[in-house]
Amino acid sequence: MSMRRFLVGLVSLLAVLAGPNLHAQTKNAPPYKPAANADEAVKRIEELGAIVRRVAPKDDALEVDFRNSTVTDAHLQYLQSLKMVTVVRLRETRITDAGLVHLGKITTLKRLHLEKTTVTDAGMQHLSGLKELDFLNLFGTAVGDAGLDHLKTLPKLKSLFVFQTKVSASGIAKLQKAIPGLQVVPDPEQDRKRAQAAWKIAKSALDDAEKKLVAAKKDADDLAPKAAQLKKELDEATKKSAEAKKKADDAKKKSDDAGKRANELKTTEAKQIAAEVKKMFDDVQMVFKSAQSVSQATQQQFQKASNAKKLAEEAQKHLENYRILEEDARKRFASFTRGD
Amino acid sequence: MLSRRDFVRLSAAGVLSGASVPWFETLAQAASVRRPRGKNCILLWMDGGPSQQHTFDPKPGGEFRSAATSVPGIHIVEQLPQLAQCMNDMAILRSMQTQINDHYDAKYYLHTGFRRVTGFEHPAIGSIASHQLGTPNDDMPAFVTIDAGYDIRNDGGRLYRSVPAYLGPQHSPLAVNEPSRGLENLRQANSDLDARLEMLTGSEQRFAREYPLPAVSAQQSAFARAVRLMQSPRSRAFNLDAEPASMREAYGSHRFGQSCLLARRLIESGVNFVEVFHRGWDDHNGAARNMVLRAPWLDRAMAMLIRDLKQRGMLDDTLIVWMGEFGRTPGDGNGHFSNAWSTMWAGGGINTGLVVGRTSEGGRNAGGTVTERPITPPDYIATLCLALGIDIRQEFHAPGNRPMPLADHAAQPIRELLR
Repeated sequence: MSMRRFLVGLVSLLAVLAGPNLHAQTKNAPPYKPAANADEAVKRIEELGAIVRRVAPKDDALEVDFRNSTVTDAHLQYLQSLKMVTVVRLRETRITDAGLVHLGKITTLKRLHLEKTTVTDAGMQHLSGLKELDFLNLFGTAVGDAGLDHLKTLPKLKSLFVFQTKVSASGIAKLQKAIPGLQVVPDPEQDRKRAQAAWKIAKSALDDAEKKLVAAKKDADDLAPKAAQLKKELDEATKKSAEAKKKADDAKKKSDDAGKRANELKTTEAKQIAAEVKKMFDDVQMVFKSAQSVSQATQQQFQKASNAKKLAEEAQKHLENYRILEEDARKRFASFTRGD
Repeated sequence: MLSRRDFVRLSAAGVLSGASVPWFETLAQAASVRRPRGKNCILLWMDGGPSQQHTFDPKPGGEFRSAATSVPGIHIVEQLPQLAQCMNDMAILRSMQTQINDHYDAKYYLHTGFRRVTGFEHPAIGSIASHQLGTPNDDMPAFVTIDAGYDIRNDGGRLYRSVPAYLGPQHSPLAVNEPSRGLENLRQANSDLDARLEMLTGSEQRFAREYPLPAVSAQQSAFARAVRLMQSPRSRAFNLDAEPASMREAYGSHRFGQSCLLARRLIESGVNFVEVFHRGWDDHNGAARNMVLRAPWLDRAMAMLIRDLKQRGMLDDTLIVWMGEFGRTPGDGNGHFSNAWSTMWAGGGINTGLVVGRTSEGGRNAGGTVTERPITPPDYIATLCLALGIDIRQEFHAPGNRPMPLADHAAQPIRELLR
């Protein structure tokens, strides 16, 4: 059994499960025959594998999406049976200049997608009466400057797409003069300016990263060799701090005992002794605190010294990333000055 | 079930008009915004929570310097120079206020617009798009996810997997695990596949007759869909090798760049919603050092995606959304932060070249609070639906005949983004 026969079987099984909505791509297109009314036109269009949908909920305007359908030039006549067709998508379909004759009659049309079709300059003349058209996509077609000439009569055209066409910069300039406010994509002059701005920023970020690396390296050079010495100092300071802590703890105990006794005896003498012991404790405590802060400072310095090398390595890695950013931006800018 | 044709016909006759549910004023007004359909979406999900101050909301005295963009007055970090020049086609949302600081619950909230609860599942935005925008029985799936991998092994918690819930299993995503390999097993392995499929179909038909349950037909339609995709010439869209070398290079060799290119190819061939996720953004050891490493590939891929969609005339119909489940604490970005963070939208025919919302300036905790137009997850998902041309006033019947609105009734869509 061939795959095709299997598919037909599978598809009919699916039809039972999911309703009559079959994709028409594997079949040949049904030939054009005139539609008596809008309902029939919608039915015929859907038989081609295309979609009719409302542009928005609660809006009479319709969009007809012919992508991935078997539409040919003659089928576009169905559109005339529908009211308020504002969007037509024909990307990568088999339509030609001959089909544009029918599209030219859909005067409600606002958006037209003709990208990656075989339409040419000659076909553009049929669009010259589409006074509502504000979006025209000609990406990947053979249209050139001669074709753009026919579009000068489209007063509302706002976006025109000419990527990978034969259109030249002077052709675009002429059309933009005829239709104020028209945006043509791509716009090489705007793109060049933006590429330049991006490069400038990337360069400044790279400069900054270089400065940071220099500083990090200096830290590494200055501090790293001192790490061993600092470690020794740190050990000493830690030891001193521990000793001081022990003394302070002893003093605290003595002071507490004296305080307790003073409370029990409630004599002036006992209170005096307690106050003296307390003062001794405060002194020892102060010694400990200062030893502790020395130890902490040394700890910080030691850490800085032992991390300096790692930070310098990280700064180096970061610099490489900023270099990539700068190189990408520079290359893109250069591509505009070279003219490719 | 109504076919599309019935729907067009009936609605033309005014049968399907209006909503039967009372709505809050703001929502009802926003819902009447006229939006063209035929919109698609590429969701770029930075799993783990990207830092706003190291991307789209830099602060003076912060770890990253800010730089001018192509829109006067709007600044982003200097680490994204190419993207900054696409600002005319972008909108930055700086006032996300989403309450949840836990990875998984936040991922759920930001994918569905509803808080995670026990015993009930809400559909993910990708599945909603599949249900609302997808063409039934199309060769191509409506919803595809692409795994862009990770660079840094930061634990961002369990990955959220999009679930269609009550919308039905046919709205589950098709998962691409490695962009450069496309759909593995897409080509048939040996020639007896026909015979094997025929046998399977035969036995399944009998089973479906005897047990006409929803789960059976769902399984069969999923299987039929996979076979149809295998046979369709449009499945070439999954193959990155079909793309010119110069284009592959322009997106960057990083797996994220190649994922963005694949997303563009899929949207071009009729997929409605693509979610690209990149993992490892949970920068507890400092956001700055990791962002510097990400900047080259992130900047290149995202700027190229915007420019490429634009030159093909697809940007108006394709909304790009960049986000994570929350932001990071002001300053070094070490912690989770849901109180004031940023997301970025581009294209999609929304209003662009602008910033929505504002966070606090100056002081020790600059950027710690939202000072203008807080955006909640319900607001966010409702706006996303409206931007894609989805009518948010619809109500569905979840299991147990429980009425479920598509968007939370309390949602206040961000009207300044919608045309």
